[in-house]
Amino acid sequence: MFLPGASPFSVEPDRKAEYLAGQLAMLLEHHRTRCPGYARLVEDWQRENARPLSSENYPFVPVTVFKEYDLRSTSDAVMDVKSSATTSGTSARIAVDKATGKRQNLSATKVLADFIGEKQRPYLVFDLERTVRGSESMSARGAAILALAHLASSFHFVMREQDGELVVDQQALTDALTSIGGEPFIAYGFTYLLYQAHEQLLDSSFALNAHRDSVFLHSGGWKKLIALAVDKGAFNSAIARPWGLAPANVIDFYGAVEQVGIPYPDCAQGLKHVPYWADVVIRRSDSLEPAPAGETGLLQLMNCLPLSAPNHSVLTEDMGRIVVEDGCPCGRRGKAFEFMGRAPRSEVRGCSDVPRH
Amino acid sequence: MSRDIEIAFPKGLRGQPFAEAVARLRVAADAPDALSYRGRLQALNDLSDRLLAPDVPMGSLSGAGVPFLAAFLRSSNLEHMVAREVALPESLERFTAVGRKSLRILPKGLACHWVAGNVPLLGMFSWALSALVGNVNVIRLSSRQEDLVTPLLQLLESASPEGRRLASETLVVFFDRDDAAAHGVMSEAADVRIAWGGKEAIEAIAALPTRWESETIVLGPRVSLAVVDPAHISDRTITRLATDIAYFDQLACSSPHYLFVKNDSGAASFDAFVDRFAAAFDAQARAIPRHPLDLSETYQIHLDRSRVLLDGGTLRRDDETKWTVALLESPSRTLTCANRFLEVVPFASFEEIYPHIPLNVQTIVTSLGTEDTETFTDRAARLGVCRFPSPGEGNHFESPWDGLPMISRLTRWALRTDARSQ
Repeated sequence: MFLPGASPFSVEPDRKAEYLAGQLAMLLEHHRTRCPGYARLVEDWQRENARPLSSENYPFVPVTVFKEYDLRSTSDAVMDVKSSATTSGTSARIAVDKATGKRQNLSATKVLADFIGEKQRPYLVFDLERTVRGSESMSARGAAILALAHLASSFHFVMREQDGELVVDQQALTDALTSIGGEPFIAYGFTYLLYQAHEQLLDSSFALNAHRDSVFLHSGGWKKLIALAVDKGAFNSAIARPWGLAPANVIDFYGAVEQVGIPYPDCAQGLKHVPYWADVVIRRSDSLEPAPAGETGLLQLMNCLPLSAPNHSVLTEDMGRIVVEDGCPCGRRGKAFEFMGRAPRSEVRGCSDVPRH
Repeated sequence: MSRDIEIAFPKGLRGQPFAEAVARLRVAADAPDALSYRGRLQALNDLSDRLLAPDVPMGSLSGAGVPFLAAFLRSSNLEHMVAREVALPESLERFTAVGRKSLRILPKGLACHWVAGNVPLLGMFSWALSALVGNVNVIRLSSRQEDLVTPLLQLLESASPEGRRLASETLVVFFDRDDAAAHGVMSEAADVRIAWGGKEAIEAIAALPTRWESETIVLGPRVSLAVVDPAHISDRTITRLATDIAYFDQLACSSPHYLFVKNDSGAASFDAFVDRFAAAFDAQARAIPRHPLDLSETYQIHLDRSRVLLDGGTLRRDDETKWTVALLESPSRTLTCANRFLEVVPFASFEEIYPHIPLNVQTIVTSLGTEDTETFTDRAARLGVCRFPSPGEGNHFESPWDGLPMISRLTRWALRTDARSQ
C-alpha cells in the first residue's frame, strides 16, 4: 500500500491525488462487496453522484454510525477499537483485523517518526499498563499509546489507580528515570491525564529532569482544561518546565478512533499535516459541499488503511479549516489544517419537539 | 429588581422603569375612549392590510412567516375564532342577555408573552388575540434574538388611528434568558402568562413566581404528523402539504414530521404518490427560504439519512441537504426529523397509525375521504390530537390551539342576573 521510498509528507499533490483516487476506488469496492450496510450507503450516494471518484467526491460515513451499527467488512476481526466515553455515553466500535492492524502500526510509526525521529527511545507512558491489554477490544487511549510503540525501546507505565482515580506512581517513575539515565525519551499521555499528573508532580516537589531532546506527546479532548482556563501555551509550559524542556518539545496530536493509524501531530507552525495515504476535506454547513481553504467546516477524514470496516472515509463532528494547500514553512508537502474542536450542538429552535410515547 | 428590563417599544417609554410603563398601559386601556372590540378588530385588519401591501418594505420581516400573520389578522378570520368560544360577540362590549342572565366578557388585564427563541413572530399571534379582547400586553424577547416585533408594531401605529391606539397598549421588552429577577418581575405583574417555546423554556416560565389568580397559557413543544389517501389528494393539495412541511423549516410544533400514506391499492400507487410528493417537496424546498443550517444540523441530516439506509429504508433527497423524504416501514424513534426531513410510512389500516401518535401530539394534517376522515379523526382526537387541518393550513395559527380555547383563557367572564328576571 505504501509507496516505496516515499516519506509521508514528500509526495507532490498531483501524484498524491492520483494515488489516492486509485486506493480509494479499490477500498470502495472492497467494502461495498463485503459490508451490506456500507453497500446501501454507497448505492444511495451513487444515485446522486455521477462525477468521477476523488477525495472531494467520495462517500463518507458519519462517525456516529459506528456507535449505533456494527459495520464490518470481515468476519475474522481480531479486535474492536472502542472510543472513550463521549457526550452520548455510547462508544464507537471499529473492527480491526490483523492486516489492518499492521497497516495502522506502520502508518502511525511513519507519521510520528517524521516528527520525532526514527530512533527508538525509552517510552514513558502516563497511564496504566492495563489500558493497552486485552485481546478483544482496545480503547482509544490504548490505541493512542500503541501508536508510539514502534518508536519505543522500552515501556514505562508511570500511573496507578487510587480510589478510582489515576495518580502518578512515584516509585514507578523513579525506577523509569533511573533506568533511562540521561538518554532522550519519548512520553505520552491523554491530554487531561498528562496535565493532572504534572499538577501532582508539582505538588509533591518530585525532582524531574530530562535530556533536552526528550519529547512529550499528547492527544484527546481539551474540554476539562478549557474549564480550568488552561490554554495550549499554559499547558505546554506546565508539562515542559518541570523537566527543563522547551515548550516546543510538547506536541499535541489529533486523532479519531475511526481513523486509528493516522495521528495528526502539530508541526512547528501549529498545523496538522496529511500523509500521502490519507486526506482531509472540509465540508460546508448547509450543503456538505467541499469548502475552499480558509473556510471552517466539518472534517471529513480519509485514509487507505482500513480493510476490516468501512471507516476509511468518515464525516466527523469536529471542525477544522485548511490553512495551506501545499508549501507549509515546516517543509512538509500537501494539505495542512487546523483542528478547531467539536462543532457546537445546535440551539433548540422553535416549538417543535421529539415524540413522547 | 427589574433594572435589567429594557423597553424597546414604544419609543416614548424607553428608559422608564418597567412597573411605571405597565401602569401607564393599564390606565390607557381603562380610559373612557378606549378602543371597542370592533375598533380592535379594525386595527388588526389594518395591520394585515399593511403587511399585504406591495409598497411596504418588509426588511428583516421577509421570510419570517408574515403571510401567515397577515392572514391570521383578517377581521373575518378573527371573528370566526371568537365565534368558536363566544356565542354573542356583543358580550365583549357590554352585558348581553344569554338566556335568563346577561354575560359580559372582559379582558384579564395584563398579558405577558414569553416568545420562543428563534420564532419571534409566534408571540404576535397570542398578542393579537389578547389585544383583540382588550388586554394590555408585554412581549418579552431574548436579548440574543432579533427584534421583529417592534417593526410590526410600528407598522400598526402607522396603519390607522385605531392601530396607533392598539400599539400604545403594548410594550416590547428585552432581558437576558438568565436574568431570573427580570423574569420574576414580569411574571408577578402578569394577569395572564403566555409561554411559547421548547421544554426547557416553558418549564422555567411555569416555575416563576406568580399571583394565584393569574392564568398561565403554555404553548409548549409538540409534534405533528400528516395522514393522506392518494385517492383523495390532488397535485395542488400535495403542493400545499409540502408547504406545511417546508415552512418554518419543520421547526414549528405544527410542522408534520411523519406522513402516513394509505396504501391499499398496491405498491405502484404508493410509489407514484411518493414521486409526486417528492417533486412537490423539492420545488417548495427551493422556493421557500430556509435558515442556513449550522454544522451540527448539517451533520444531523447526513447522519439521519445514513440511519434510514442502514435500517433498510430508502431515500428521496436532493444532492445537498435541502430536503429528505425517508421511506420506512414504520416510524423511526431515533431520527430528528427537522429542517425538511420527512418520514413517509405506508398504512393499510388506521389501526397501524394510532400506536405512533405520540403523547405530545398537536396537529395531524389530513386529506382522506369523508368516511375515513370521520373514523380517523374521532379516534385520533381521543388519543390527544388537537387539530386536523387540511393540507396548506397546517401552520395556520388558530384558536383553539394546543387544545386550549384561547379567548376564554384570556378573558374574565362576568355574569349578571337581570332585573326583569328577578
